[in-house]
Amino acid sequence: MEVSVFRIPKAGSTRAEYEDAVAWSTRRRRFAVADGASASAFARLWAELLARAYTSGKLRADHLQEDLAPVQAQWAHAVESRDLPWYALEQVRRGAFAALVGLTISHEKWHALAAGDSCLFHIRDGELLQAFPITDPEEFDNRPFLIGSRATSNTELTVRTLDGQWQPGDTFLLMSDALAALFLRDKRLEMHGFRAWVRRMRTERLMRNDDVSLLHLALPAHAAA
Amino acid sequence: MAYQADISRANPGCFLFLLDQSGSMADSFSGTAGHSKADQLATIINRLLASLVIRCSKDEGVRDYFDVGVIGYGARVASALNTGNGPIVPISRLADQPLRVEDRVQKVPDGAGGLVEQSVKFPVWVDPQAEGGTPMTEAFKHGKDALDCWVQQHKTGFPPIVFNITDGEATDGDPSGAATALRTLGTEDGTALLFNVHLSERRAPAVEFPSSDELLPDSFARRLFGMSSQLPPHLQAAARQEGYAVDEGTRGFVFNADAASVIQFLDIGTRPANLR
Repeated sequence: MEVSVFRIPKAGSTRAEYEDAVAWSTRRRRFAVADGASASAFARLWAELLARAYTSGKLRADHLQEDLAPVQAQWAHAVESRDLPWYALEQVRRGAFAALVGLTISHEKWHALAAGDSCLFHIRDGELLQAFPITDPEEFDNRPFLIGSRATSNTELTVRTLDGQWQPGDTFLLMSDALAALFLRDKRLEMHGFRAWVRRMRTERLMRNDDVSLLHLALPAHAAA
Repeated sequence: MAYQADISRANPGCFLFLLDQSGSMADSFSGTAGHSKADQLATIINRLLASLVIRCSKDEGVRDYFDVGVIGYGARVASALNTGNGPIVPISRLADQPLRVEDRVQKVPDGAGGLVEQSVKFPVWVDPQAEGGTPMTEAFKHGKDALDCWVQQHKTGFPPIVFNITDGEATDGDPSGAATALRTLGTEDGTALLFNVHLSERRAPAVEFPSSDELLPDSFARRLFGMSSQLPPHLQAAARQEGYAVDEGTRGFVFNADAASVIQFLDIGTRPANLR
């Protein structure tokens, strides 16, 4: 399987300010994109911890609250040990938030998990077979339910799951929301010169100015994947 | 379309707060014992400023998404901040220069249906003050002067948002004309938005973002409503997302209520639904 990854910060922001995370393990066949919410602080760290927890198999949809606890403890340990001004302490008290979409490929099947507005697309012969968890571009807004780094924020959190069958030659795309909204609306994605294309989409206001993350997974055309 | 400009560090937004610090603010607020309108005003403004700062606070510090000014009016009309450097300062300067930071106790949901007490940081920039008349007309003129300069320097920016927090009783004539003059200031993205927050000693129910003055209890409230800007469509949609019942006539006016939600109406990125 072939994995290509792009991480592009919001226009006007530096690489250090990018708050998404992309993680994968070809050995475990697990792939994830997480999107840290800009209204919270230390969201990139939270997004990274979530994406890594998923790809290492430590985040299960049916045991989510339980599985999140050690990840939350890791986040808290990292941020609470710092000497911070009042506003950062207030952000730490509230916690960080992130969307997560994860994909696991197993024998003939795939399994996906999602919370928030990061998306997965399953493509065969250039046709979109499945969009998950958002299927209508109108569903994207700026108030999604996201995974909080404080357990008290997650009482109403729902994680969605989806299973499907894959075939040799299929493609899977994992995206953060701004790119996913454009893809779902216009079914457009230019992999060649991707960075320049993203810049153009932003300039033409066809894409919201936000961090862009893309994981492109191409399954081999022959059955021995 | 107006009111669509991205708010970013390269293109910051601007908040100007006008605070009634007149003698009448020493009267009690909405019948509550022990709390004056001046106390209530100080709580509201300090909370508004804190939510603005927190909204801009990131891993590396506070990003200058906004410029902020606070003008008090009572015995005199002057900046109520001790940050120096003119009436309007970048939010990061405000963040680093509160008068003090208090520890207060707040009840927050424990995640299991109950409440738990948590210590929160409460920065104070403005202490309660109540002295002299209510030169509201003068305050609007002062505000217009301060913003004149800002809009010249930020021609493509989101237009300034002005909050006037008062008990409504101007003593230097009808402020409506000065308010209109202030609302005509603008950038290429639209004219300045004026929000009025009316604090009253009346035990009348709170009113938030009404579209008519029918439910307002007195002539002061109706006049302030009349001076308030209509919410542009973009902010109407954001207000609706925050759970307010708004329509095309909705104005930026609240009676005996907090107004911190207005800050959340402005889009500077994703705000999770479960971030309270």
